[in-house]
Amino acid sequence: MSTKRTGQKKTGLYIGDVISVAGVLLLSFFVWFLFFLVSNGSGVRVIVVEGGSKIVAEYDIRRDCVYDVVSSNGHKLVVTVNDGSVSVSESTCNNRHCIAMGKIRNSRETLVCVPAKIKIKIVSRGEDMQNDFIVG
Amino acid sequence: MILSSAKIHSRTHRIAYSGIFAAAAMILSYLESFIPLGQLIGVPGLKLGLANILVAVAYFSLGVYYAASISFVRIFVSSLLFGSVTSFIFSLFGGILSFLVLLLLGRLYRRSIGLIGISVLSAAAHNIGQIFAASLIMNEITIFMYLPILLIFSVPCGAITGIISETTISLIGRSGKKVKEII
Repeated sequence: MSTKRTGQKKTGLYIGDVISVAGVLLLSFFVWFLFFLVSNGSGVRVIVVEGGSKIVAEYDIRRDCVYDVVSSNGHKLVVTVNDGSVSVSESTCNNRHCIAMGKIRNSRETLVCVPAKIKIKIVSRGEDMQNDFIVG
Repeated sequence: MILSSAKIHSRTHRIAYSGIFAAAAMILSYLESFIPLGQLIGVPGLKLGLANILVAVAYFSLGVYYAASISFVRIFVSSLLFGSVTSFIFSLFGGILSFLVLLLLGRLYRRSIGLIGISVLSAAAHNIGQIFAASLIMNEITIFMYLPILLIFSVPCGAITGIISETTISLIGRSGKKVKEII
C-alpha cells in the first residue's frame, strides 16, 4: 500500500520560486531601463550639492578637483571630481553608504548621504549656464 | 477546561518562543553589521538579511501575529541599540513590505512556492521599501536608480536565507502545520 502526498515536497524548487526569481530580475531590468532612458540629458553637466532642499554648492564636472562639503549637522564629506565622474571619497557619517555608492557620471544620477542629509547630483544645464558656478 | 488550559499553555509557549526568536533575530542583525557586504561589493546598504530567517520560521511555526511582533521588536530594538531614527524608518518600511509578501505568499507555501521564492520576493520588497523610505526622507526620486542592483542582489541573498529557513523548518517539524502542533 502506498500513500500519495500531493504537493508535499520536502525540498527542491517550486514553479513559484522560478517565477519569483525571474520576476525580480525583470523588475530590476525594467527600473534600470527607465533610468537609462532619462539619464542622458543634453547640455553641460554640472555637479549640484544640496543640503536639505537648498543648493549649497555647484561644481564644474570638467575640472578635476577635491571639495570638502560640510553639512548643517556637522558631517564632512570629501567629494572627488575626476575624469568627468563624481564620488564621495571620505565621509564622517557612520554607515559610509555614500562612499559605497561609487562614482556617478551621467546627468540625473545622484549620490546621497542620509545621515548628513546631503545630495550630490549631476544635472544638465544649458550652454549659457556653463560659467555660472557657486563654489563653496 | 482541559482544552482551555491547553490553549493557555500553548499561548505561553508561543510568547516564550517569540522572545527567543526576537532575541536571536537581534543577535543576527548585530552580527550582520560586522559583515560590510555593501562596502565590499560596492552596493550601498546591501545585507544578507539573516534576521528574516527567524521571521520566516516564526511565521510558519508560531503564527502571523507572533512573526509580525518579532519583526517589529527586532527592528525597533536594533535601531534603538545600534542604529538611529533614520535606520529605524528604513528598516520599518522594508520590514512592513517584506512581511506583506510573506503574508500574501505564505498560504501558497509548499503548494506552488517554496521559501526560496518567498525569501527572494521578501528581500526584493525589503529593498523597495528601504529605497522608498530613503527617497521620502531625502525628497529625491533618483535614489531609485540604486534599486536595480539591489534587486539583483536580493536573488542570491534571498535564496541563501530561504534555504536556511527551509532547512530550519524541516529540522524543527517537517512542515509548518506540524511545527504549530508541536508548539
